[in-house]
Amino acid sequence: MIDDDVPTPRPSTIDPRARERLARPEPTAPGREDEDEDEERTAEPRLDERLTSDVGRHAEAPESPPPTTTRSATEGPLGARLAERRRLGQRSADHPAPVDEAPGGPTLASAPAAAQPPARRTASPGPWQHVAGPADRASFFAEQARHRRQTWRLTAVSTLAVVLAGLPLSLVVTPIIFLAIILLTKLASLVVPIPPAVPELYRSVAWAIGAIFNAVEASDRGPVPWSTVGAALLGAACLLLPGVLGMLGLWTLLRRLFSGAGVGGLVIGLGAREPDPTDLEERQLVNVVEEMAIAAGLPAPKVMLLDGQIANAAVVGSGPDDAVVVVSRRLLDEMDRDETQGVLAHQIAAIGNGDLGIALSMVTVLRTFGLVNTLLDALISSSARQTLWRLWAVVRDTEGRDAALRAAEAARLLGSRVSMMEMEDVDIVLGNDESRHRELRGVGGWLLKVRVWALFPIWAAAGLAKTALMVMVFALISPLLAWTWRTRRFLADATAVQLTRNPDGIARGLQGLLARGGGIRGGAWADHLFVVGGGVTDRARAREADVAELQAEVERESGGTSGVDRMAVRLRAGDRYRQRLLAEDEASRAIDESEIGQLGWVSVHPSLQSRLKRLRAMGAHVDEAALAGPRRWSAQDWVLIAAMSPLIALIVFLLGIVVLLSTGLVLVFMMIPMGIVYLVFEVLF
Amino acid sequence: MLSVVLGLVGLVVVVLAVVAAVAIVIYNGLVGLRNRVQNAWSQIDVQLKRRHDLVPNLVDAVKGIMVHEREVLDRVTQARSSAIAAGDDVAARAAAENALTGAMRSLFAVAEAYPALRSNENMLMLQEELSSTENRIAFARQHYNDAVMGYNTAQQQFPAVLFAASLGFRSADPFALDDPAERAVPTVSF
Repeated sequence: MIDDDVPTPRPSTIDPRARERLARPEPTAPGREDEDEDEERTAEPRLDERLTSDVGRHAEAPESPPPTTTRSATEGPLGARLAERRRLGQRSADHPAPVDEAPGGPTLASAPAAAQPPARRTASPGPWQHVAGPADRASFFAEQARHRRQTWRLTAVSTLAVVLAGLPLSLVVTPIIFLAIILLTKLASLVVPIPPAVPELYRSVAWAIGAIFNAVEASDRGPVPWSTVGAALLGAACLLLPGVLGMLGLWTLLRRLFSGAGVGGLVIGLGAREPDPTDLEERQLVNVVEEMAIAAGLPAPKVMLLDGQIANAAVVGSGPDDAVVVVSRRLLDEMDRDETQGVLAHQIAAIGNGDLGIALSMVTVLRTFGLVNTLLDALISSSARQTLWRLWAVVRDTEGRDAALRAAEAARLLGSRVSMMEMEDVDIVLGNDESRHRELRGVGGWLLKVRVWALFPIWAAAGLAKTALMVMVFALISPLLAWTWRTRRFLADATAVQLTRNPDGIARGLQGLLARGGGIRGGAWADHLFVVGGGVTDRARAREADVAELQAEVERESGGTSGVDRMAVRLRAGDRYRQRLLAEDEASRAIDESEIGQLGWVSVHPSLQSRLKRLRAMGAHVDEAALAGPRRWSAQDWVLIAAMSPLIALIVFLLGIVVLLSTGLVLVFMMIPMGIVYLVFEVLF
Repeated sequence: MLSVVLGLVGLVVVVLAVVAAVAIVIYNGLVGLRNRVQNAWSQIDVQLKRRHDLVPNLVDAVKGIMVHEREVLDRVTQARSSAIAAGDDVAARAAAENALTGAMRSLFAVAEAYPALRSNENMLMLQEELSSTENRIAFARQHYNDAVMGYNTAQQQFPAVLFAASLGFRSADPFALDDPAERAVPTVSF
């Protein structure tokens, strides 16, 4: 059993560093003394507190469970000092790693650790070494539980909203499914005898649906008996379930399609490259990622780098096995090891928490709607038929492309159809499209007219259902998905603290990103997978970074010249910059829509201020200035909101009416195809 | 009468089925957690092994420059061989690994005095690798402790606590300080 082979290596808790500091107050490298001095001073009282409170707590509750376990060395202000060393790549020389087998620094190293071999622990497992420290203010385990609960709640609400939004659409799909079932049964009956119970079952379904109208009729005459209500509910279930189940099946199918496709192409689409093993920073990045993967007990994900002026990091993939961590080189340049570790821990935590699967599910919801929309549009729109045809080609791989690229293409095709309503054929028939008027001539034109008018109830209902869906996606589903995703970001932050045991690292990392982070060009489709979002400041910040770079370029090239020469250099640099912008815009146009937040007005990322607040609760040291942020509600804002609120309420009310009306109209329209399906059934059986 | 009996039997069957389902879920969860703990434990070994593999590179890299530090280098090499030779005896192994840590640390401390080493690209890389290895060992232990905590908590919670022990689940030990003197360090007064 496990307890038999658990040996007793000796992780030190906070003591090695504390002891070392006591024994050797001056750092070894004289060059860094000044920097350390400040840190030390601020550290002094805090460490004092921590040590005494540690002792007190330990005495009171020797068996208390461990919110933090072995690594606290990098917590607290000492962590900052340590970070300074790490950045200089000197850490292991004069400082032990966060947890060491033997305590003590160089002072103790002169007395070899071998001289004092650790006594084997013979007694039953001792109490957890409880580490008092800032991280205990709000246990990250408690934080994780909290955000998990929030996710559950929001997921439940989102699921409800998705089902509600899908109902009108599934109502449109139902008669088509019924028709298919009837025709298939008829075909099968030609081959094998069908027991008479089967048509009977179909007939009873038809009667159940008819019971809805009986109930509606009965309600005009007075109170409806319960039996009629029950029959009507059964009928509603018969009407809705086939569509709902069909769409659920489609969703599962699409989810599998996209999860099996891998992510390599998407990463290449971002312009990512492999890390350079001879570059110290990039080697360090790979090490940090692997360390975090060990801390999370996951296989180490692949690391890719992005060159550019924006600092950010993302994780793409469909699960722990094919996850790829994408980090911008700028992030490495800006951050020290602790900060990089915090940011990357957030990514690894996201993998470990299963966020990639959740993202896939969320995105697939919208794609399913897109596919159903396209299928219904195909009845009356040639562009929808083209989309379907291209989708088919992409899935069948007639162009011999990489699976991931094909999946990306398919995703883009479907994603773009969620909010589209096209009915070219109808326009032609109604004569709205002058340029294609001649298509109405001859037999083809006649066939077109017949088709459009025969399918009128279906496309009219589909149009209404899509209106309802679009309203719901915009007003409800998109924000709900965004809010659900936000809880995952908070959860990943809390898990990152668990992995690093260093809330300061990620807090400082996020503060750094607050200043220098932003959306990566070409990465907007995966905005939700980045550690910080592009947001609205994206463009402005990218331009700022560009301008800084441009100025540096000019300085370099002009090299002390002045006057006309300098002006010429400036003009040349400006021209180059313009060329580059054009090229980049062209490149990023292909995929530049975030899929979860596609129709959204709610960011999928929580504000950095709120994230920093949660991190502060877990013990990070965060500047008040960083928490205040640029966005603070002023009195004017509130007045504006108060003035606007009746208007907003009116809009919400009207949107609700639109949804209800279109659902009701869909129901009315769908009765025509249902009747036709029933007639077909009666003729066939 | 018969219908009442049948109803009671049905009720009992349903209750038993629910209990069995819950028990199966809990049992499988415990098995998963136990394997996680075992895996986490073996990860520590993997990382220790990685360090053993890196040490010769380190010694090679600094040998040419640190010619006057034979003693320190020898100590590192010896510590490494004794750590490899320590075998399965846990106490001896822990001591040997600690000795290796100490020896390496003194090597790096001495290396600080050689500007040629401090600015040497290879040396910096190697230093990064070694400090990363130390971190990996630390994180592997942390993961082990987290896994142990999850496993122990799952066992001690109701209703798993009722049958976990009888099914052979024992609580796993986290890493803890085993030297009382070390634990007493924080009591040092300023």
